[in-house]
Amino acid sequence: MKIISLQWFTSRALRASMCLGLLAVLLMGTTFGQTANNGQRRLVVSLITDRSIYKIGDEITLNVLLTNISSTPINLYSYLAPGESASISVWVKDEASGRDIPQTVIADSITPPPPSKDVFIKLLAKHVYGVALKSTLANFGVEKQGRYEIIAEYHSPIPSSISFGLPIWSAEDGTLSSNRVTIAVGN
Amino acid sequence: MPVTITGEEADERNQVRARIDAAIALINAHADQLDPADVNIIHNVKSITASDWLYSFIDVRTGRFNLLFSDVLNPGMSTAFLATDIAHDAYHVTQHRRGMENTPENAPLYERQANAFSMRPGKIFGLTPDELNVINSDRHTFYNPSHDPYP
Repeated sequence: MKIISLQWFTSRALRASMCLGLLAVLLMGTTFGQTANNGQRRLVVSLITDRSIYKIGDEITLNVLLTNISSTPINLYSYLAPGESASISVWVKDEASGRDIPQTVIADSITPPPPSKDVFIKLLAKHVYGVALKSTLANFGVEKQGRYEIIAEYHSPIPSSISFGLPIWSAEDGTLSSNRVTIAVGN
Repeated sequence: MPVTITGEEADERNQVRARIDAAIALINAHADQLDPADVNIIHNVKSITASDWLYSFIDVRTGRFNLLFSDVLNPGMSTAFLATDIAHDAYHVTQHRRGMENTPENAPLYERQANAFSMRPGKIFGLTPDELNVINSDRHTFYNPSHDPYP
């Protein structure tokens, strides 16, 4: 029995925009988010948007940055993707009502078991690692004008049982919330 | 099911296409072993898109399942795991139809339920014990997921 039949369409597309790398320069003037202090290791997550004013239907770029504010290196799963079973969650709240906006476009990168320790990076003390996530406002449920608060969460998807002997920042280390960023959306 | 791939690099597009083809073929090859109710849930995915810039997501209103190239090509992503991923996201559509909202409060439960569901077809698709373990012990099992992301 065949339950899915495929029809393929391919086309050239839009520029690649998911970029991983050190983005320390973007931290200038940014308010830090929540800090986790797990023993000697301290990590903070920060959120920066590409703009503060948007129009309905605009794209938005979210820069999610992890800063090692401890004096020792931290080993992180290098692939930063959005999803509850991945590394990052993004939530949007309507500032006027204070209500969380339910998401019907659910970011859902799924993380397979890492095949080797090569998937981890060593984030040195006082260094920054991050990802630029591009989306549309509509994907976050922002479809009318108003002011919105955005927050990002970082959570490692990798359990400590798959650390390959490295002292990784693992799923057991919990969730870190970023600073809140307020944006205005107009017509 | 329509599948649309957008990306700049032909080689990447071909690799992604091959992997999605393989995952769909795996689902179809095991269709007779799946519970008919599970087949109905998998049918919630109405279209697949893959792109090299927009993250992976399921649109629970339309059944569009988008895959980011780097998710498909992630080291460790097996055909069985990708097939299970399709089932996982198909279940999010079922949750939406049942009236569940994906909010910070509900998201951990949303994900746990989809993981729990996907293990059933995933076993049939041939997930390894390590892969099943990762799905079964997702991060929400390690700490209280009832949190306020706005401290």
